[in-house]
Amino acid sequence: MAPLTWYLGLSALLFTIGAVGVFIKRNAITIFLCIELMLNAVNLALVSLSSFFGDIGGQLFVFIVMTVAAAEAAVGLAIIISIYRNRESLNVDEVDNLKL
Amino acid sequence: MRGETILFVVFAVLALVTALNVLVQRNPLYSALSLIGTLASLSAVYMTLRAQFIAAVQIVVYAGAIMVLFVFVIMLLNVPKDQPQVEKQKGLRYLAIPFAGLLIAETFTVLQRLPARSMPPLPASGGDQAVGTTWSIGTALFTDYLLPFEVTSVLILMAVVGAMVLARREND
Amino acid sequence: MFEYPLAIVVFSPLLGAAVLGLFGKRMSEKLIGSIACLTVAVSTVFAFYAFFEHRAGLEAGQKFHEYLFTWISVGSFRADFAFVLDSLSGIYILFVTFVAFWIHVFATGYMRGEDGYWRFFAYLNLFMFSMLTLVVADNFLLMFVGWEGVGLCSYLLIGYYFTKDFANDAAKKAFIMNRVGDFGFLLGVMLLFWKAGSIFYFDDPARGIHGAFNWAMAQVGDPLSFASIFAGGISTIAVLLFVGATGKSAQIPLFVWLPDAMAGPTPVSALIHAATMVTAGVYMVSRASSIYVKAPAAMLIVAIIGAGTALFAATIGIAQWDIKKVLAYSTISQLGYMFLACGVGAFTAGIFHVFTHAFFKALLFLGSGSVIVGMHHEQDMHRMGGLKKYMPITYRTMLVGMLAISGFPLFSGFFSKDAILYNTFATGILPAPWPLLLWAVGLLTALLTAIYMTRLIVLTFFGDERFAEHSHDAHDHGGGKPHESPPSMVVPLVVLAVGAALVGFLGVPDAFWKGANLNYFERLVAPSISTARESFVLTDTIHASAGAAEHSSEAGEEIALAVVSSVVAIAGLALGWFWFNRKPLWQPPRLLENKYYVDEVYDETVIQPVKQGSTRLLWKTIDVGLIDGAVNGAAALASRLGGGMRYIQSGLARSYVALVVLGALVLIAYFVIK
Repeated sequence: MAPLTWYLGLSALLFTIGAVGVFIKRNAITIFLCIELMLNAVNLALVSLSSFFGDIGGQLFVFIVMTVAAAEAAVGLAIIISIYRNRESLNVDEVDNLKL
Repeated sequence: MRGETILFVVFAVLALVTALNVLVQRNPLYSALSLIGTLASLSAVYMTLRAQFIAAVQIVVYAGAIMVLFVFVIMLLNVPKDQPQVEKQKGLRYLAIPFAGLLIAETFTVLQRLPARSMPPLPASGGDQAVGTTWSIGTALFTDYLLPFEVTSVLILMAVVGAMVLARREND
Repeated sequence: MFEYPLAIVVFSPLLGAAVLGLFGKRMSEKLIGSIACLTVAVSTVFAFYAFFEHRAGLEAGQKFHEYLFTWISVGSFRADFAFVLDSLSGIYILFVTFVAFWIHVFATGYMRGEDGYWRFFAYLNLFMFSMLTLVVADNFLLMFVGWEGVGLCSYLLIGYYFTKDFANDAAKKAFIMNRVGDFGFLLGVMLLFWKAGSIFYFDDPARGIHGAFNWAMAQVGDPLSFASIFAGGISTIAVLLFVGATGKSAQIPLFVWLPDAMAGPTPVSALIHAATMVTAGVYMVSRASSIYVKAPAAMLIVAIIGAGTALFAATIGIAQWDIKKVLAYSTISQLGYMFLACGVGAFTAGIFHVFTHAFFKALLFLGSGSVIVGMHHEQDMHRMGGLKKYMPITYRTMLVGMLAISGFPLFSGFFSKDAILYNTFATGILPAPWPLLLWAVGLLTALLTAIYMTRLIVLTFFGDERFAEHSHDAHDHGGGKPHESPPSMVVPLVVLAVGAALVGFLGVPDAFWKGANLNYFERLVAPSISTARESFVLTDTIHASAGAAEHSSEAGEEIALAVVSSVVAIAGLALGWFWFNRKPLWQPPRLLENKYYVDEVYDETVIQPVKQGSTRLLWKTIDVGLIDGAVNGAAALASRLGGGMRYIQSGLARSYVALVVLGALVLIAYFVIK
């Protein structure tokens, strides 16, 4: 059976991949996908710790993270749609009005 | 190597490969489909952890509902391929490599330091009421964690209203 | 019957001030006048009630405390909101409320039709509150509250015509001059607390209070030396308190504000700058007589300043053309008399002069107000004359005031001035040349007083009618002949004239009638005063051999001096009469007309250096260079820093992500390394 460190290592690798994706990708939707990936990496860490320590709290937290992710997806995609509607583009580098 | 370990290794590798594919693909639709693969693999990993409920929800809610929403939006917008690829601050792209390296180095340093004997073994499967079953999740959710649960429902309501307000086309 | 009569005396005008200040703007003039007069009338009634209720006790020297609440209690320091009634404060509240009531009545007529009628009476009532607090306070700090309060009201009322520059300047001048004095007063009180451990006047066993005066009486008196003033002892306290008195009571060197204070309406001049507020200094010195009698050096200073001011101001008074300015300098001069009395240890005589002065000076000011109204706001005596037939009542009442202030026999001023001159001559507390010198100065001042008052009366009421020839003048906007004032103004004149003529009989010197106890005033006030005679070592040499024979010779001496001063007064009146009847527009020496150039000297020695120092050093160098430089420098630093940091705020989501990740990495690294 795989030890706990393996699960946590997998979680860290997935999280890093997600973070790198947020870094290098310029398409807003892809960035969003990478954020979902990072959320799932964290979920994995929570579930594995919950299972190994026999505490249900971690899995409940994952449950709540999922609902939040759903809500986030709804709002985030709505924002993306309205951005695209205004700018005819999903490139985040073109959306840089929030500066001095 | 026991069967569970083999399962874990297989699905872990699958998850990593599909996750990398999310980055490699240029078309967001392919990225999304690749991410569905990652999520499904993770669901299998959850099964090796005996978290059946979370594994099921992962497939149903994540890979099913949320990702469908993504794919739906991608197809709705249908960004033309010949869009100019504007990129400001090109240096950021190369900053990703040291950042990623540092992040992995740091996390693995932490994992390295954890003494092996303090790591508990995965408890053996134990009946209908073990941790991870629907019974255990439901019991905890509607007793001790009732308030967070209800607050989450309010959050979702807010998200629904917010999404409607944001995505609505202004008619004037 | 009433438990707190003094509180009613004090707070009734405050109530009036509050009502008028808050709601007066929408009231009719009649209602405003009624409220103002009524509250002061209530004060007056209760002042009389309090006095006559306790009259026997007051004559016996008892003190009646009225404790309201403890105001401050910090460590050993304590100040109460409490009043004390003894014969000194009793006399004061009597004449202050009485005179003030009639001045309020006069003002209802005088101020008719002025803008801010309600404001005027609100201030006037507030002034009454402050003045009465000052008088009946039972500790120095509460007295200081009243002391500052009257200063504030004086400022507000001098600047009543606040649209006019000269009124504002005069108000500021009065306030600043008073502040200089107040600073001395405050230092004196602090030093007193430091030395005596109490700022209360008297013991009050009911509250467990030890008075500062008992401490003072237990001290060994300082020697009469210059050094004792700076020794930080009781003489220093006395001198510092007197500095406060010079400010409030317009003595050398802080007197210049009082003539300018005439910019205020005439009832204000009558009430504040003649009858009541300016005598606060005399009151305070008399109140602190226990301290002064232990400080002969301070006494000598008080006497010299008093006599000097009396003569100095009288000479200026001769040369003024503004009717109110003459009276202002006359007031300064009379205040000098009062301080002269205090300085020679005759506090009772000083208070008696305050008492009579309140009547006749208020009368003269109100008379001048009546003249000013009758002349359609003309104050220059160049343009008066011959008013006798137009304003018969004003003329007669002012004549009474003139005779009283000049010390014409049997008028009130005669008795009080005579008491001061006699006590100066016969004082046992000053070394040899001083009594005679001060007496001579006092006598000369009496002569001058008679002359300038005669001049005022002659120029105003006798001779040619000089106003007609100026009727085309642009300033003369009233038009028409001078007229007698309405009843609301004339009645107070008559009442005060009766007072000015008669109140002197309360203090007829005992010597005038062998064996009789005529001097009721002195018998009444004396228990509240520490007389110098029992405290000074010097007195022993003079009065040690005192006996029955000495007493009769003293009495003879007193009568002789009274005759001398009567002769002087009558001579002054006669001189003034003949001189100014012949040459009413006689040009006085420039030096006097320009008030010895005191204002100019102050301007050169004090105001200009302060102004230049403020402009060149404080403004141009420190404010612009240092303070503005620091402020602008800080702003510039923030601007530069922000300009640099601006590039972090690129607006690119990915660069923000980079920063977030960097922050996370640093945090994790911190925990990893730890």
